[in-house]
Amino acid sequence: MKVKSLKFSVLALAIVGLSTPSAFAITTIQGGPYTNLDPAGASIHLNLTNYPKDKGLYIFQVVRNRASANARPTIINMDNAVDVTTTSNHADVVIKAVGIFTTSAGVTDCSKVECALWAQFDGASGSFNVTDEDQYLSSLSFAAATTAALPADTISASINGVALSSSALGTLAYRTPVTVSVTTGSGLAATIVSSTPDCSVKGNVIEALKVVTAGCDFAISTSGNSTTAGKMTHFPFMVTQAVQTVTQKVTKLKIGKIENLAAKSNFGEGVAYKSLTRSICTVKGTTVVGLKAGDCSLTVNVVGTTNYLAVASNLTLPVSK
Amino acid sequence: MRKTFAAIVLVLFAIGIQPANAASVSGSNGATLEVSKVTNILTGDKLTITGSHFDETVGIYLALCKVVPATQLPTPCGGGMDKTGKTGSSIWISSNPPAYGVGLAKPYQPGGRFTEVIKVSSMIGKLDCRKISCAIYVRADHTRSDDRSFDLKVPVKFKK
Repeated sequence: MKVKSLKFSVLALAIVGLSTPSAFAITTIQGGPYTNLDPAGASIHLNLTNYPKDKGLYIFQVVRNRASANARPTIINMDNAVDVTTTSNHADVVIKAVGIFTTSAGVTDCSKVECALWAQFDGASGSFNVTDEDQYLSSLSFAAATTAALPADTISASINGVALSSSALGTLAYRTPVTVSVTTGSGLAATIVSSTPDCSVKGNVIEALKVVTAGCDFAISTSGNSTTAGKMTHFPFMVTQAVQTVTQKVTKLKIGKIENLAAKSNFGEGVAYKSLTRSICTVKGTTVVGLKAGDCSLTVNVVGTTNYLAVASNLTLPVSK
Repeated sequence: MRKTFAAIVLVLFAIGIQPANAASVSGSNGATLEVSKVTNILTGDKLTITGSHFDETVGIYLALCKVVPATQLPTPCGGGMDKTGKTGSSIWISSNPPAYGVGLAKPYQPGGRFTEVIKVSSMIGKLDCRKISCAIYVRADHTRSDDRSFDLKVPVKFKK
């Protein structure tokens, strides 16, 4: 029951995470495009609904801060900042994103770091420090700078036949490796790199090493060639708890014969057993013995962590002579 | 008759084997480090080091080192910083090593676990662990060598 409710919670969180960029922001901001942008300047059109009527909003191009899911960015391109005031046209807000910009922190190259659009209360509202409207709208991916002369490569990626999105979160469970299939328009080989230390990549296999609210991001890139410009596309993922399992070798018992039950789960946690039918079988630690013919019913319990779910299940072993 | 049988079975169950001479320590972040033998150690002994609930995003070194105050980098250590994997007396565990460490660092097992064997010597350079305090240490690898928050140690004593 506990496992079921935990699973339900994880599922609910997944749905919330996929449907809105932030659990806190009130305003819904939709638009695009966010990928294959012209690094010299690309117009992104945004439609704002459910926005505050008495306060304005800033929309910035920023370097995404992955310290947490909604961590405020520290590198902000103020040159193309858009202030959506209360009297602005909220139906079509245009921000012009660029591939390279300069701030007091230095030069930011969005082909090398994860750039994104960010919204928050504006300064005029007096609520600049209020985080209620904080949200990342989407990561941005730019065509390589050489696209003026060369056509941009295209990158599409999928897991088990399901296409990945560079703007919607994919889902990755803790220590559950998955293989990413990548197709490039140029036919060039693509390289996958994790943008965060919380996930790892081996060839085309990606894996989450920790459940973190900020999730993971993988950059898939091609180097380009004489006819095609290189391309990098970011694919964000949310990381969920994994299902912990206990695998038994014992499937049946003989009266008087001591059998060893699984002592560890797939994540190395100790397994606790308790007999529900003490006249039929008895348990000590992880060993069990049948006392008389019948069904030996055991509870199986394993603690969970932030990375994987607890186990609370029953095991039935037939006991015979 | 049945009661006698059950009693015999329970007695058999009660006999357990506890690892003698082993010791473990747990960190504030939940990581646990266990060393199979901590006293009467001889040069050439192979110690089994097991860890669990380590943060798999943080690479670590596992080595026999001189005991230092908690705020200091544990050093010197037997085998030094083994980025080549050749010395055998210190072990690098990382699931996301830099490019040059791929295939060299050993990845964590799921659950932040590892089981490694270290062949120890009482001598760390010119330091003699028969005369000074030494311990099996875990510390963050060279990608964050100034970070002391991942340090864990199990003191060990060599036979004099």
